Amino acid sequence: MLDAIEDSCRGEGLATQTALDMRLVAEEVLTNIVKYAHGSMDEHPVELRLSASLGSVRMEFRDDGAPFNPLEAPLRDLKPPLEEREIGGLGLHLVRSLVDDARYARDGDCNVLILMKHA
Amino acid sequence: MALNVRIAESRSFSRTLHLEGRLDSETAPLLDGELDKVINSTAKVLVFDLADLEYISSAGLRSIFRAQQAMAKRSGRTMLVNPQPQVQKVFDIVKAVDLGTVFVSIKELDEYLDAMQRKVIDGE
Repeated sequence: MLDAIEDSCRGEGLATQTALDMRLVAEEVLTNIVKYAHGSMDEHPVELRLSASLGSVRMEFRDDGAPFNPLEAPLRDLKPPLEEREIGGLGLHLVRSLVDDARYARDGDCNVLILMKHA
Repeated sequence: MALNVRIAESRSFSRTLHLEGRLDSETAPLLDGELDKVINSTAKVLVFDLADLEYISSAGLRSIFRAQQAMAKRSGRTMLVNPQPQVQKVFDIVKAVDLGTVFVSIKELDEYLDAMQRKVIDGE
């Protein structure tokens, strides 16, 4: 799925850096969903819709996990020196920093996350 | 794309890990295995040569930070050399500014390690 995202962005003529940024954002969002959305190990589908053009990229993630808004979840404190930081919890920092516009909604039983980046 | 990891014993007290490709949730476990060898050795300096690393995600950061903390616990140092733009951007976002010393070239790193080696020899 990540290769498909990157390839689609490149195929639409977006810069390599933008394609890699979107791949990274998608990896972090999907990792987060797999880790936290479900209490069990059952398989749950995640739907991703991607639209890319020269001007921008839009990704919409839809999953039926527990309600979770990654745009408002508390972020790991980055002030302490690395040696004293708890490891992990950096994915949300990356997602929020790398996109230009983001929206979250709970639609019925689904989390819907829309992320946009202008090329 | 996969990840290739090469370990070089550049000096008796240092190990350089040259990373090529992509460091993400799929490839980070491979790096962790290689890092354990360095962490469990007597090396005092761990160097990540990132000249050919084109992509890093939070899973990769986790591996590097874990190694950095393990080295620090036994008074070792961790250094980065040659981070490429995507990788540098990710380090900047998570404010990894105090991750050892970042060198822009192998030459600069070599000069630093030479000086360190002289100090060790003089100290003996």
